[in-house]
This record gives sequence, C-alpha cells and structure tokens, in this order.
Amino acid sequence: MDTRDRNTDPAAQGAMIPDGAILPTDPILTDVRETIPGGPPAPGETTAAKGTEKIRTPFQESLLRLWRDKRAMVCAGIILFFVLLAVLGPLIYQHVGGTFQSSINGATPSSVYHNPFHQELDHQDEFASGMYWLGTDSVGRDLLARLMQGLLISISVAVLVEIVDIVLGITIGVLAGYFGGWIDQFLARFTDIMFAFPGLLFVILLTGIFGTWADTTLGNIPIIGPNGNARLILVSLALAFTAWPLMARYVRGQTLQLKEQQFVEAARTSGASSAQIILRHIIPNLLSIVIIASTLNIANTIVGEAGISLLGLGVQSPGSSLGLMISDGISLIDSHPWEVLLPSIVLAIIVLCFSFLGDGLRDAFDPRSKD
Amino acid sequence: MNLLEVNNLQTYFFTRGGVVKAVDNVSFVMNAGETLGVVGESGCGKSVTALSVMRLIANPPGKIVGGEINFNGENILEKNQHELTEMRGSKISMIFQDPMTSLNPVFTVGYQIAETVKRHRKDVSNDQAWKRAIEMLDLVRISDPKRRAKNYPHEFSGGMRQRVMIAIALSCNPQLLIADEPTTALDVTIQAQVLELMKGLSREFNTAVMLITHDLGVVAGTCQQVNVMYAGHIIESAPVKQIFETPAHPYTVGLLQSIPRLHESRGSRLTPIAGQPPDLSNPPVGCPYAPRCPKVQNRCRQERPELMPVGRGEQVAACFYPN
Amino acid sequence: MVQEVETPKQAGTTLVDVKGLKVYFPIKGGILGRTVAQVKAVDGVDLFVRRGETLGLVGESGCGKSTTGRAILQLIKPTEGSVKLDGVELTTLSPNQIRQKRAEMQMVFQDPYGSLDPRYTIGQIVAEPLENFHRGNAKSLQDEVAGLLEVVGLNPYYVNRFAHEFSGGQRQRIGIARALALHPSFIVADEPVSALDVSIQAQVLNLLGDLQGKFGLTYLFVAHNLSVVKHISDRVAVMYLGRVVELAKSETLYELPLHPYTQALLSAIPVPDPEIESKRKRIILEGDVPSPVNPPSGCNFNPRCWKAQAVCREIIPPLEEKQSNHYAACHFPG
Repeated sequence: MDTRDRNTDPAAQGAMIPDGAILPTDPILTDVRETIPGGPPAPGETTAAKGTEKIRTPFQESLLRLWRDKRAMVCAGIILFFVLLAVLGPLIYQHVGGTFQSSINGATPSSVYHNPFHQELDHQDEFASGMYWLGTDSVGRDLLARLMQGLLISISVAVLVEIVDIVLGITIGVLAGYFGGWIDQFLARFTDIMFAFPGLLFVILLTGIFGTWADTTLGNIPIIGPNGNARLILVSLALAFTAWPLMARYVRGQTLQLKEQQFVEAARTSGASSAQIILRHIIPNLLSIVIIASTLNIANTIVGEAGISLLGLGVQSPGSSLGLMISDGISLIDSHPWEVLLPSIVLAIIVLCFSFLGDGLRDAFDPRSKD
Repeated sequence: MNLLEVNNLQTYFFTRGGVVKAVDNVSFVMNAGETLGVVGESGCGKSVTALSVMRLIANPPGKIVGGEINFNGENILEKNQHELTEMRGSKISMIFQDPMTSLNPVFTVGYQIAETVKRHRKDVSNDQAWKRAIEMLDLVRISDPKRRAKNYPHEFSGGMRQRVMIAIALSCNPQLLIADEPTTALDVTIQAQVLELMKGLSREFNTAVMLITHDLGVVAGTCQQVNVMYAGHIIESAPVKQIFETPAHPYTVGLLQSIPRLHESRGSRLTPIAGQPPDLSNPPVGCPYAPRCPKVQNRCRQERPELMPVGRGEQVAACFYPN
Repeated sequence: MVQEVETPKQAGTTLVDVKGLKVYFPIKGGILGRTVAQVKAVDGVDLFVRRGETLGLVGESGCGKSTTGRAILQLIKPTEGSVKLDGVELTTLSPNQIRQKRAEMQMVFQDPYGSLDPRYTIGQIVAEPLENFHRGNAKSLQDEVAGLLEVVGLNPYYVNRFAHEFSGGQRQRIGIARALALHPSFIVADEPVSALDVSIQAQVLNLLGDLQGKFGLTYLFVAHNLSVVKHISDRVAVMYLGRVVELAKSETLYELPLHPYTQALLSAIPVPDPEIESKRKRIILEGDVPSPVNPPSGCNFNPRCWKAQAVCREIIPPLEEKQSNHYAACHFPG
C-alpha cells in the first residue's frame, strides 16, 4: 500500500519516456496534452516502421555494467587468453622451432618434440630454453605443451560439467519451484544428502569405483578416449553429479520468488498454460542467477578436477592435467621447482579469474547485492 | 527566533545519469509547536528536504551543496558527527513511512525506547529508562504497556508499530518531530487513530511537527501551515485555510481539482494534471511547472519565479500569474 | 441472500453472480503438516454485478477484497460457493475450460512495476493474450496491438520499448491495454490506482471510465480508498473481515451508511477541506482489525462496535435489504 511512483527516486532518474507518449489529439483523452518536443513524429508525418527502434533490455543494461567493471573485464581477458592458448596454442606451437637431432630418435621435427606426449629422454628436467620454451619434465616432455594440454582438459571438463549442471539444475529446479509436490520433496531430500557428503569425497568414490571400468569401456571412444582421457568423462559426470543440486536450489528459490510476481499472475490471466509461463516468463528471468552460479561453479570444477587428477584418480599418464603435473612435480620441488610452480600458478590464476568474473557478473546483474 | 529556519537549501544527487537537483533552493521557517504540512507528489523533494534537515543524506551519491539550516539559531550544516548524533533523537526526531521495517526485530519494544532515552540522558539508570519506556507506551495509548514493553515488534500490528515509533521519537521530548508519510502505509481507520494521537501529543508537549505527505486530506485535518513542493522547489506556502480555499499556484489548483471527493456527485469527470513531473537531472529553464501549466505564458518558460506574496496575507506562491 | 433487483433506470442483466463465496487458506503445522487452522480470507460473500455497471468493492487490509476478486476470476480456487459468469458456473469447470473462459474475464493489477515482465517490450506484453488464444497472425497482431495502445492513450511509436522506460501511470495504461486485448466483458480492477501519484490517478480513472462507455465493459473495482471507489462506481460493497457488510448505490452509501463499520470508515477518511475537518465528529475505532484466523463469533465487527449487544455475538447478521436497494449485515443498522 505504500508504493509511490518509484521511478522518481532522485538517484535513479534516467531517460524516461516523455509525455509525447500520450497522444496529442486522442479522442478519449482530450484533457491530456502533448508536452515535450523531440518525441515521436507529429501526427501527419508518416511513422512507417522507422519509429520503432529498440532500446536496451535490462539484460543488455547488465552486460553494459559488466563491460564497465575493469576487474571483471581483465579477468575475462585472461580467461580468454588461456582458452585460446589451450585450443590454438598447440596448433601454433607445433610449427615453432626447427628439426633437431635427437640422440635417441634421430631427426625430430618440432611437431613431434612439441607434442605433450613425446618423451625426449635426453632432455629431462631442463629449464626453459629456445627449444623447450618452459622446459621439460622428468621424462623429457615439453612442459608448455603439457600445460596447454592440461588447460584444454580443465576447460573441457568445466564446460561439460556446466552444461549438465545447467540443464539438470534448471529443469529440476524450475519444476520443483513451480509445481512443488513430489518433485520438490525429491529435490529437497536429494540435496540434503548431497550436502551432507563432502563433494570431493563423493567424486573420489565414484572415480575409484568406476575408474577401471571407464578405462576399458569409455577408452574406446575416439578423440577423448585414448591417452588416459577416458577417465575425464567419468570425472566430469561425477563433478556434475555433485554440482547440480546447488544450482537446482538456486533456481528453485528464484522460481518461487518469480512465481509470486504479478506479471506471472497476469500471464495466467491472459490464458497462458503452465508450460508457457515457465518458458516465457520464469526461465528468461532466471538467466542472471544461472550465469552467476555457473561461472562460480566453474572455478570449483577446475579445482575439483585438478584435485582428482593430483590424487591419481582422474586423468592418467600419459595424459596431462594441471593436477597431474603438480603431482609429478612435487617431488622435484627442491631441484626443479618450476615443474610444480608452473601448473600451480596457472591453476591459481585461472581459478581466481573465474571467481572475480563471477563476482563481477553478480554485481552487474544484481547490483543491489553490492550494498 | 524561529525554531527552524531553512535558507536556500540545495541538495543534489550526483549520479551516472547526471546531477539530480532533488532540492533546489528551498527556504521556509517553522515556529515552536506548529504543525507544517509538506505536500507534493513523488519526486518533488519533500523527503529529501526532511533528510537534509536530519543530515541523513547518503553521501555518495547525495550532497547538500548549498544553503543553511538553522535550528534554534545554530546551523545544522556546520555541526560535526558528534553534535549531530546528540541532536538526532533528542532535539529533532524523525519517524518514517514503513512501520514494518523501521523497528529492529530482535529487540523488545521497551528496550528500543529505553535505548533512546539512555543514549541522550546519560544520568538516567536502566530502571528509570525502562519506566520511561512504559510511560511512553502508555502515552501513545498502547494498552497494558507494562506487559507489552516486553513484546517484540512482530507481535504488534502496523498501526501499533507506528505508535511505538512515535513513542521512541518523543521519548526525549524533542522540539521538532519530522514525520515522513507516517500513515501512508496504514489503513484509513488506523490512520485516523494515529493522526489523532499525533495531534494530541503535539499539543500537549508543544512539539513542532513537520508532516510530509501526499494526502491533502491529512494536511487539511492536522496542519496549520502548508508548503506545496514541486520538482525540488516550494511553489506555494500558506496557512492551511488559504491553501484550500484560495490556492494561488496552478499546480496547487490542479492538485485540488484532480482528487475525487467524497462529497462530490458521482460521474463528474476528474480533472487530471496533464503530463509528468520533469526530469530532475535536466530541469527545464524557467518555471518547472511550465510544461504542464494551463496558464503558461512566455515569461514562465524563460524566467524562474521566486516565492512572492499574492496579496492575501502570508500566502506566497512561485508564480508570475497566480490565482 | 442478495436478490437481483432490476432498477428501472438500469435494466442491465446480471453478468456476474456470486453466492456464498468462501476462500479458506489452510495453515499447516506440526511434523506431519496437518491443517491446524484456517485463514478465513473470504467468509461467505454474496454479490452481483450487472452488465455495464461498476461495482466497487472496498475495505481495509485483510478484509478479503483482493482475494474475492481473484476467486471470482478463478485465479484462486474458491473453497466453497458459486460464481456465475453470464450464466455459466465457473467453479465446476476444468482448468482447461477455465483457460478458455479467460478471454471473457480479465484483470488490471495493482503494481505497475511488478505486473509487466521486465524482459519484454510493451508490444510483446500486450500481444501475449492474443498469442495465447491464436487471435491472428504476426501482421494482424501488430495492428491490433497498435490499436490497443492508442485506445489507452499511448503512442504506438513506443511499441518496442521496454516497460522500465515508462512511468507508473503509463505502465498502468499498458496493463489496461493488455486486459482489453481479448475484448473481455468483465474486468476486475484490483487497486489499479493505489500505487500512483494523485494527479496520475485522475488520468487513469478517467481512462477506465471512458473505456467502459466505449466498450460496454463491466467492472469490479477493488480498492481501499473510498473516495476513489465512490467516484467510479455505480454501487459499492463494503467488506470487513471476509464478509460484505453493506451494499448500496454510491450516493446512498455516503449519505446514509447503515452499517456501523461503514460509518466509522467514512468518518475516518480525511477530507481536503480544513473547515469540514475541524468541525467533524470523528468515530475513532478502538483496537485493531482481528485476525482472519480467529474471527469473532457472530457479527465479526462486534468487538469494536459501539452498538454491540448480546445478539451480535451470537448470530451472524445476514446481508439483507434494509431499505430500497440498500443492503446491510447488521442487527441494528442506521
């Protein structure tokens, strides 16, 4: 009962529709006059379709706010750099450097010795050089190549996990929030169980139990299968399994709130079915919270995958993962510290960047949460 | 000496979209024991004026950029934080619109009143403060005050919470009470109760009241003097009878004509005011009401009128062609 | 029970007929979630609205007026009672049938900010009802929407703008355009001007009145501001704690309120006239509105009524015609 015209908060004045929005010579409202010039074309001029330019949606406003957030943009830039490095890097690196004479393998072109799986046993634990830009590990593998491979793994896992997370989270979250009933009960009990379990422990359990099975059956899937990456799918599924209940909870909460909004009631009054209401009004208004939650979850996923691989349950040699590299390099921390520092620093940076980006997203899409 | 004297107050908000001149050159006085009504629609600057007097403007983005506010001869704008804290609650008190969120939900009502007393009267013991709290609850006609002082805010209804707010505000016997839309969120029958109460207490303790509202009916029933605000300016100021019987400024006239009255016959068309209030970050040159005024002339669009007498006693209006 | 009475002046037929409407909300408690109590939001309401007229439904917070409006539109399922729209019983229809009926009964909402989805342009918002009922193709929809915007006084030039760019009053007009889209015969206006500034209220009220004349609409106007309701309504029903306590023509209600609550309500309304204000005798009610979970026995106004007698605590007074076309639920009216 207390809502006055909120749009006149002095700190929130913006470009409001001038009262040229009210027709000047409307037969119904003869007492309302056209006032501010610069509005729509005068009656008599043809409006055609020209007058209907789009202005920014609230979503676009949020994106603009994000664009202005320097810290978030820097982090997004770094993430983009890492992504490009992981995807395009190997392709470029393959052709850098000439053929070199290996004492073991004979003439070795750069496409071979810059391959993350190729072992040059003559050049073990080397520091950065012209040939090996970041040095080699204890079996002569190019560290930069392994780093890029590891990044690719991390990012692939993160993307895969997020897709499952988002799809499952939104579906179950919206259904639970909108309809309640047994779906809601199921979600509630399921999340209770998942939260009671330490997440990493659960993933370890899953990978431990199904690890060898994954190697044999999934190992035959092309591209991702060989080179110890079969486990990747398992790890991704395990991480997704533990992540989606939280997303569903967020979505459910937001759905409950949206359900009570008058525009949802208005949609029902306009004859929309539940499906139409969910697709048209609820899900689009959930996007901000989903974007924020998934960005922050990516940070968790990357750490999770690294942790699993470090424990030896994820990506196996000869495959590469940031976690695996760390585990390989730990024993050499006194003699060849860069072998463990390199992957650790990269891991730290990328996780921090996702966290700051998530923070920035939250500020951009939900500025009230800043106070 | 006037109790409160506001001279050329300017409070601006510095936002990304521009500088919003929420209060632009406002001047008025209040006398002891008088009830002043500050009337206007949303965005006219009435709340910002009150918050400026209390120095509660959030900075950033707001700032009092000019003018002076003299309370009992002292300029509030020159006081430091310590002096302001002492002033608020004991010399000038404020109550707000939403009774649901104005009280702290985790403390009892008695505690909140007693806390105010103890903050301003260091010589008072806990027991005395509690007794005063019960006294105040009785004063605002809450039945069974001894028991209810131990209740929490959620155990009270909206109207009663507003009365508790009044109790807190008056507990240290301030000279000025600022009430920002105190009854807007209340039902009409409860509003009547609360306004009766405020009138009675103001008379009994000679407390001046600045009553901010958009409801002209409330003003007619409780105030002696009325300021009408529009777009950050006071555009008319007069004793209450004159505002209603002989409004001078076209905005006041328009406002009075646009309200449905209980006494009027059904079916008569309301006369709304055309258009909308101006954008305060880009106010028009000249009179702020010119774009909507039915009597606008060229001079109005070029020059900004100041408050000037209209030839009926104390009534002043910011218009070149008043009624 | 309220009977339909045809007055010589308006021989309109009854469009909406409500009898014995009850809406109870259960309060669950305990580990097993049993119903421990009920909020009796609407506790036996009879009313009828004639074609082409405006029935005002007025009362303070918690009286059940908004719930009544929604229950009539079947947005909330009534616990008991009958609601007939143009002779068709709505409470026994299936959800799909109700959806079809929506084309005949629409609502204008209170909150100009919450009632429009911020992600859509006003053109899309107004077109949504038409799309739901497949009323035309893309081109004809565009024209239809432009026409609707014009009818409510908005320039169709702004059809692709988003809701947040409009002011409160303009947003309410968009909401009205949306309500008109399906050409309904009956519209429930739920506090449509309460959130607007006073001078804008007048614009929107005039608009509603004009549209009624133009399209032959029937309104149920729900509000708490008696002056506003009186201005726009032909007849007014006053609600208190879930029941209608008085029902009469607008002027009659003001001039001669029969129910003590109506008298108190009228006396509490501040009038913008200092002469009148200083001279009035105010009836100040004691105490607060009781909770609808535990309404008083008998007449639910009796604890605050200065006329209350023993019979008031025992017997619920029925809404009966006390004077010509003037109904009141009171043992001692007048």
